[in-house]
Amino acid sequence: MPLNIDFQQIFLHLFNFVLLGGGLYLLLYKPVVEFMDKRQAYYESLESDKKQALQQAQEKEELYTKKLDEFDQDMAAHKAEAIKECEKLVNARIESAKEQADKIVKDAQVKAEIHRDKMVEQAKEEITDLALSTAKKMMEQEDMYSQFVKAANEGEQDE
Amino acid sequence: MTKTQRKKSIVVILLLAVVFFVLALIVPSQPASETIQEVMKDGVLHEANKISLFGLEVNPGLVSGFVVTGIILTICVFIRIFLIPKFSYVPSKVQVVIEMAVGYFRDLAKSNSPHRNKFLGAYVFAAGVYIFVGTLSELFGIQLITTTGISIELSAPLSDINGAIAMGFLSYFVILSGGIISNGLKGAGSALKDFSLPISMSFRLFGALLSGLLVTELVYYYINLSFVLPVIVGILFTLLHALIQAYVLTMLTALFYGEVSEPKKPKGEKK
Repeated sequence: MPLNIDFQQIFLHLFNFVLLGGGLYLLLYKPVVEFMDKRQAYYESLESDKKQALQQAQEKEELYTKKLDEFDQDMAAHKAEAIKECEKLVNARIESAKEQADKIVKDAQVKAEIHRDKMVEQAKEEITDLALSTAKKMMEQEDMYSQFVKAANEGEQDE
Repeated sequence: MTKTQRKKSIVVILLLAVVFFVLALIVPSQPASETIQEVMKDGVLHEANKISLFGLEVNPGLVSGFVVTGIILTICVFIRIFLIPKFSYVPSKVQVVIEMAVGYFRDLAKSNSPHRNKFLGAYVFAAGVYIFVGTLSELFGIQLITTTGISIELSAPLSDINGAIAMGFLSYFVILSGGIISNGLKGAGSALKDFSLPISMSFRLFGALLSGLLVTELVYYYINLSFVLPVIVGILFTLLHALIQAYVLTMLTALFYGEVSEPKKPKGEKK
């Protein structure tokens, strides 16, 4: 054959390579690939666990956010109700306070009127008493004057 | 070590180097048993220097192939017994190197042939390791005695044309088998379209490795070229060869395998 090509040697080379390929596959390639796949699967499972945990956490977060929103809404509703009740109560109290105040004012007016009447009455009495006493005094003064006049007349006569 | 001591040692080493260099030039070397033409011709054709393998007269490349296979499998057995059971999820340096080598060829197969790559990964791994280690085996300079009684150095297994043809045709049959398994007759047809592939693969390997062998033979044949130059020719070129040829053959095989094993879409269905 040209170029010293020899089929027997070609087949021996092939035999040699098949031995090498088989040995390499069984001794090195397969166990290393299996190990690498196992490690990859391990890290993928870690990754998927992490994703699952993250998803669960997100679901929980959503749930709690929803609950918090509901709670906020409830709180707002309760607050509004409480405010309404408070307003009612305050209004009622204001009303009763107004009523009381009116009553107090009315009572005070009545009392003041009574007191004024009393005062007026008393003043009248005092004025009457004063007038009487003044009149009495004036009466007494008239007597003295008449006495004086009398005395004076008597004195003229003596002269 | 003080500065003066260091200077003295450097001077002594340089003097020794100069003395040996001069001696090497003065002392006549043994007359070569073969002329350079014979060496070159034998490097290409392996007609003169045969080695006896269990009674068969074979090219040194074949023996080299068996030696390389033996070395690789011994290392693999060692790795399988002592290293792989100790593999951990946080890898050691050795584990990283092993995983990188295996992972590289597996990824090469996966990226070029996404549909069917399990066998391809194992094949390109074996081919890549064989070509790489086989080419590097030149550096060890294992000596053997030929049937004519001359001592020769074992060359790379694939610098023997029979080894290169075996490798090229086997790669082609792997591609063809991928096409047949994936797409039946259509796959076989698309693989057979590239009928020049096995020849181009074989001769590319043979040519590349032979050129390395011839340059090395040439350099070592002449005593005057045997200083400094072999460091570049012998080691750097061999390393480059080993890497490039391992990459080229595995890449081509993976590429063509991926092409023929890609599931064919029925006619009329557009992408």
